[in-house]
Amino acid sequence: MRHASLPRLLLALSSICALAVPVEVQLLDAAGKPLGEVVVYAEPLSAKAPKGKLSHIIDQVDKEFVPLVNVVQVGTAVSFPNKDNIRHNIYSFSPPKPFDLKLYSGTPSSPVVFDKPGQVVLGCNIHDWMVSYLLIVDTPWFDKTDARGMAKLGELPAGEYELKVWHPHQASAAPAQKIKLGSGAASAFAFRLKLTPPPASGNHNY
Amino acid sequence: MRLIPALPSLIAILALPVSADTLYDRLGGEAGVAAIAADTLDKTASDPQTRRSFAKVNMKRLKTLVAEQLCQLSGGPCRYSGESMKQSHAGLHITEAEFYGMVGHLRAVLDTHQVAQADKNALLALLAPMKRDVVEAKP
Repeated sequence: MRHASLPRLLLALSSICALAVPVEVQLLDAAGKPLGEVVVYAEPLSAKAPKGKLSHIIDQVDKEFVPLVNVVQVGTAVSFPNKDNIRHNIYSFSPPKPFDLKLYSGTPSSPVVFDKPGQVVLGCNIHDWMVSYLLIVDTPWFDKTDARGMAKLGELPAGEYELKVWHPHQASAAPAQKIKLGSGAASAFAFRLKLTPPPASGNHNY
Repeated sequence: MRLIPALPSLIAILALPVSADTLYDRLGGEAGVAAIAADTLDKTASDPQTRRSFAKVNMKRLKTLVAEQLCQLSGGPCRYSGESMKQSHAGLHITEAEFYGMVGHLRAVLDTHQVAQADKNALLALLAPMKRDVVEAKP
């Protein structure tokens, strides 16, 4: 009995390990340098994505949106706390969620719920160069790359996924990678993405 | 007998809506008011004494709204579509010096546009009550 239990224990251990695979993704630019602020997400192909943390904050600091690049899961309530404490008028014409939100000094506003996947560009009517980008994804497994170009998607259940990356200034979309997570399979992946900085815009002659 | 002296003034009253132009007209109508708004804001947003609160502001939108406001105040056919002065200035901490700095730019622009002294005073009198909503009282 004792001898028989060891392989079973190993099997059980390996299946526990297979249950949760920490996935890391490295992003490099065209020149091979680490690329930060890139959204990385894994969409499950075999199972339905569970719900993750459905709240997010996009602040307004010194008449800029912070952060510039955002990723949330479908159904997330995004709040705009307005650290500036002056009036802002945040809007978007993007199809997933057209909205118009007036922020006043000292008056909290209700969060905006993004209930459809897609890309959203946020602007401010009053300060025309304020811009922020939001990607709404149908998965709780996402991250943004750090300064070293690394993203950690957390512990993903074994199974098949489509791994995707996105940056608002990408020259063209990088092809998605179909990955299979499980015991013995790779859990580190890499992408290359070329960015095209947008032309300088906004009103600088104040 | 009594009616006879009143007759000329009655005629004058009847003629009033036709002959009298509004302050808006004397400011140059739509084009004049738009130019006064734009020039005043350009000066205010470039003067180191007054430009602070205009940083990163969408000036095109602001010029349109101020022109609307001047038009409505001076009796023109516009409706101001912006926020109240209190809401639009909240948190900007506009000082008295900044407020009077902008008034100074407006005076200079009105002079450039050769607005008569009486009309200049009339316009400034219409704008003066805004001070209490624009300038933030020191705590």
